[in-house]
Amino acid sequence: MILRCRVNGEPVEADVAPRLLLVDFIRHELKLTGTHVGCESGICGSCTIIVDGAPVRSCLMFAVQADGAEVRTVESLAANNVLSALQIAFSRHHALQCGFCTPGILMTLQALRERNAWPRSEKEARELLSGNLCRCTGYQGMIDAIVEQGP
Amino acid sequence: MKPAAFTMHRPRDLEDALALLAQHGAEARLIAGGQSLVPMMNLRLATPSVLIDLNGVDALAGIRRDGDLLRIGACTRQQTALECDLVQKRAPLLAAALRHVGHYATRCRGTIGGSLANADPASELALAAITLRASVTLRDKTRARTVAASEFFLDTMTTALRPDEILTEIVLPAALDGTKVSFREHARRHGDFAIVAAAAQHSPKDNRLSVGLGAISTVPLICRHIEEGFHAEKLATTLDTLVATEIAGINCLSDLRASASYRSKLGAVCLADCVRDAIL
Repeated sequence: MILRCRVNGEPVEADVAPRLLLVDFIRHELKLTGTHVGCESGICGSCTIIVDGAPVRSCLMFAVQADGAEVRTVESLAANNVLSALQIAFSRHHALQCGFCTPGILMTLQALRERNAWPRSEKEARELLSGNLCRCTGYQGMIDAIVEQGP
Repeated sequence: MKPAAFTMHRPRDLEDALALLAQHGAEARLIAGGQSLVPMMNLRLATPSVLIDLNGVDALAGIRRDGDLLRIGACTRQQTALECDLVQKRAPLLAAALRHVGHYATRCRGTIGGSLANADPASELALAAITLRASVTLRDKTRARTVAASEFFLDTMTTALRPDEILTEIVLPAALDGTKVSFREHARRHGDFAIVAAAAQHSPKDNRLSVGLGAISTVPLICRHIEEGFHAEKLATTLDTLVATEIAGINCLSDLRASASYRSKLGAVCLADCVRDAIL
């Protein structure tokens, strides 16, 4: 099936099998390996990207479903090689250890920022992060960064 | 793992989707948000040979007031419904239930109709639907029929939907002014599947109480003993007996998350707290 979309602002056209997951298209075909694959069942949140302004699990979408869509991955955050405010806050608060879950968390937060849905309290930040698994248990730094970056 | 091979159709209107479904029959599965179906396909617990993607059918999404009713299109995203003023004002119990459905990102993709059609015993939306006496509209190529939510859920992940039908909307009675609601859920983590969940709505205007209990049995249940036997002013002395009668009649599920006996005890606590919350 023919797939035409934009990924991080660049037009993309490909002929892909319907069963190809969007995350595998991004990693294997486009070689954008910043998006990570954890559970392949929508639980861990590592593969979260932004499709038409909404955060989505790219392991639960088929590439062909992104036809006509505007797709953004973690590579889009550091425009011109300058880290975003959120990325700088994550770095300053040591909000990551191994970094495997980080791209999914950054993209979820980026979507919330754009949708004016930023967590308004530490409680809301914790509730939000329950959708992204971090096995290094590095949540406290993330909470600090989220609260500091305020709504 | 990766899904088994399939053919994908992406219709742009409902007629095309219904024609495709009629053509492919039981070989085909409908996909909306995919938040339950795709994990099952990735694990190869589901191996449909044809997928019909409803995401391009704009007519299936949207929320509108229709007199005393609220009509929510099946492909309305869960997060869209949660943020909708009309839902918050006129279906506050649905809004309360939606806060417990998955996580922000899965709600941005997952749909109202998809969750109902999936009919997981722990589904918060199924529980809200039976408690609110909602109905669903099921449509095939030639006609549409309306089925009460309480008759739609037949068993674990089994509904009254026929292979050639699409669930197109859920219809809810609009809540009266002053309605109080409560939704209580016990899960190991926020966003995880519920071990038990209870929903209650009380409208002081007509002194009507609606109560439901979910995740405790193969399908969500209306708590008729409590609904019919409750007296707001005698709540303190009668509620525990009503709850005990209600729970005694339930064949509780036993699975890796909780035993039947644990579910029955937790269900009683959850139900009593929920009803008190909605009335007081």
